Amino acid sequence: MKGKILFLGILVFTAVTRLFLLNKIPPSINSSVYIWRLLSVFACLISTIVVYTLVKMNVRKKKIALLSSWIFVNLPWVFEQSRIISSPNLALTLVLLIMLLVLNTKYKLRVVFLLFIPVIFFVSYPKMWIFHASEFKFNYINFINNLFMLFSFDFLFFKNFTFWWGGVKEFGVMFTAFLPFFIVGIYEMINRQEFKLLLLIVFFGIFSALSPYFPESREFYLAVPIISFITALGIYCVTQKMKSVNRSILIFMIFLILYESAQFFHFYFIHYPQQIISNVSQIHESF
Amino acid sequence: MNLSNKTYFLLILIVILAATIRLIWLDKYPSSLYSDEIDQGYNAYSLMLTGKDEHGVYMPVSLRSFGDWKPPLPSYFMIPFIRLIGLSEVSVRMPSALLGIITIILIFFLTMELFSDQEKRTKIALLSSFFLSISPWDILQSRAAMLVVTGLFFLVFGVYLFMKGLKNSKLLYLCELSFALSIYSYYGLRVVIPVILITLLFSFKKRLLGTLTHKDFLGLFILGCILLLPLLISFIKQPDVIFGRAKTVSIFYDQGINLRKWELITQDGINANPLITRLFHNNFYMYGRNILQRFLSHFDGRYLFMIGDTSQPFQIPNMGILNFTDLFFIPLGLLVIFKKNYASRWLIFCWIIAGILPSAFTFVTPSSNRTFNAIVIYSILVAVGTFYFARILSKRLLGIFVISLLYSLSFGYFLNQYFVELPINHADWWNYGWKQVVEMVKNKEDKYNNIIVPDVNGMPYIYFLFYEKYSPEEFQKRAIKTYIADRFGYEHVEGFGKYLFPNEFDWNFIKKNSLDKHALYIVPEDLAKSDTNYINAIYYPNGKIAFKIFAYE
Repeated sequence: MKGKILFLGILVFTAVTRLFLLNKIPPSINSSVYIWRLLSVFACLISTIVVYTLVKMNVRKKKIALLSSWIFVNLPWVFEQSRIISSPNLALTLVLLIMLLVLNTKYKLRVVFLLFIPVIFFVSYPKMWIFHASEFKFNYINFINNLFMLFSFDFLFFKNFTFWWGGVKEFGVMFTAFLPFFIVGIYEMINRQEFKLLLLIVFFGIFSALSPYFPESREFYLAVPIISFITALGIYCVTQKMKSVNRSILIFMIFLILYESAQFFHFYFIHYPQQIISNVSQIHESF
Repeated sequence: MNLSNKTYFLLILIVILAATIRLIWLDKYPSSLYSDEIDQGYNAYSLMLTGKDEHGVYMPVSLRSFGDWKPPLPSYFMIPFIRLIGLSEVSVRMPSALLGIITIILIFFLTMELFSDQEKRTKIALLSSFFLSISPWDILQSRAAMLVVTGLFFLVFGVYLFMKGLKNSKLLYLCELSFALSIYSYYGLRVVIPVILITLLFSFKKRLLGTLTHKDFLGLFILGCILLLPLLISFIKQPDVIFGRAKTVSIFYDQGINLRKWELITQDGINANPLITRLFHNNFYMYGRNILQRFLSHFDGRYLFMIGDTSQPFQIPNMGILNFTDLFFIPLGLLVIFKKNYASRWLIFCWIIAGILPSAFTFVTPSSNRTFNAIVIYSILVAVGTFYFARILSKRLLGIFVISLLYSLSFGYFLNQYFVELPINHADWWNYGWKQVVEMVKNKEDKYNNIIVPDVNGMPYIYFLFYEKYSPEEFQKRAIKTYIADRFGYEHVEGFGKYLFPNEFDWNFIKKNSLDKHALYIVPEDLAKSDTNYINAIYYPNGKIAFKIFAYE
């Protein structure tokens, strides 16, 4: 019951933070764009539910599932993408839904559902290099450089360079307060020899790094639920292993996460509109 | 420690390899002495002849140098070599190269102390030595007279003596001496040493208490005070002695964050609640985040394996500071060390944190020079990573072959970039051309009243002092100095003898209005690009002009 209330709280928090001033921030929109933005918010809510369900199904620990969904909705990148017309955001929801269906059906149906993934990719990422193979030129220096950029602390925690106008560049994919938990989470995954999800992140990274449109790394956005799960696993492990004397550190970290969330909202609702408004002439399409 | 003949043989082979790479063509590669190297060299020369540095300070515990207050030990080490072979590139670089080679032997013995299993630790120790010997980062620093190499030698020696001192307390006195000497070798270690020392004390508290008597505690305390006393006395006289130029490279000196803070506060508007504004835009958060970002930038793959340190002269063209293959083995090594619960894991962890921390407080990041001591840990991690990688493979020989092949390719690429690409196409990174300028001017100087050299491309005055072997006694008396620091904290020499080094230099104005009719002007190419009336030119190895020489007779 407690878990359900908490999860409901996460959903309400998601809905409220996404709907707040949706018609004004990001600025410069018309009414049809607003409806698309609403769809994005709805997709984010569905994704949150699916992240919770998938983690709960696979890990069988409600706390980790709750933490994963809470981290997912709190990630700056997810917040920004769920308030704009974003094909990666919609693609993520659809891919997550398919994963849920695949895990809940039998063999033949699984194959059918999995076949939908390339279709989703084609619709969501029509410019993806794989659909234009004849024009694609591989440059290994650029590829390695892009890969290092995507897996840098700078991108993950400090500076999101993947979009032009759709978000706050001063924040990375995650809050810096998540850093120790993310590292612990990765260590735990390796320790448990659960490499599938880590390889999947690398796979999305490779796809993005190959993109001729880099640094617009839309493909890497699909790795976000895994990042949320790893961070949640890290928090769970730390809370389980930490002795009572070290509780003060944990309390400090929780305070830091809340503080950074507040910082982010302040940046998004106060500074971001002012920064974008001075660049309106350079924005060629609504989002 | 019983080592087999095979181990000694392999270690000797590694040392021969390291010595060959570090000692060969020391005068030619890097292609010129960088201003910091040549300054230490001339100060050593000055100390040798007069007992005073270029500023006339007797037996200094910190060299005022260009106003950056260099720790003096590396210069003192150059004196015997200058006495033996004269003032030259080789005598200046030799101590650094030799200490770099000895550090490769030391890391072997240190690694032996850090791991417990006899069979594994010998192999890991040999591998650590080997990977340090072929490290691009280490080779670059060892072949140049950089302070950090001397500092690293004493740091590694100090940690090794500490480990040995756990069994024999007398060695702890030597350990203390070694740590103190490292403090007299490089600034960054004044922060690193205390952190490593605290980690060592906590990690080996029980064993240490079992070894040390009250007399030892007292003796170590007194020795510590004596060793640090000269530094303390100098600090009282001149506070800059302790942290040198740290003030002017610190993020707190840079106005970037302050300006951003005021921009954000302005954006909040005049109606914003001041408490809210202060909550979100405060120094504590902004500087804290910036320091963390700068700290983590040292683990960026592009810096480590692709681009390297872009601040001159620490860049090797088109490659990182490490071998590209290390990318796979560093994380593996780290994982193994924590998974196997090695007793030394916290020392390794704290060493890398402490090694990088001082650099995080400066605005020039990532910095390979300030974080150089981390190379020891990277080498050990690569050694552990490759060792366990070869073990887990079912076909071990194939694994060893693949690793060897990858490292051969990686190291071969480095050799080409360092010995071919860097000296030919990037000679300017090492202030190439001043030696050639001095040699050319030497033959002509009698004809002119003044020789005028704009104060750019390093500190030109020191190149004239060095290559003319200008009498230190004369320079101490006749140098024109204002001791006014520029915005980067550097103090400039205005001139000595016939030489003038103006800070402000507008060639287009000077050539039309030159008052001195018997002057020789040495102008860097970028200040006189379109001017073709030069009497002579100094060229970079790739054929581009470095300096143009103009004469007014």
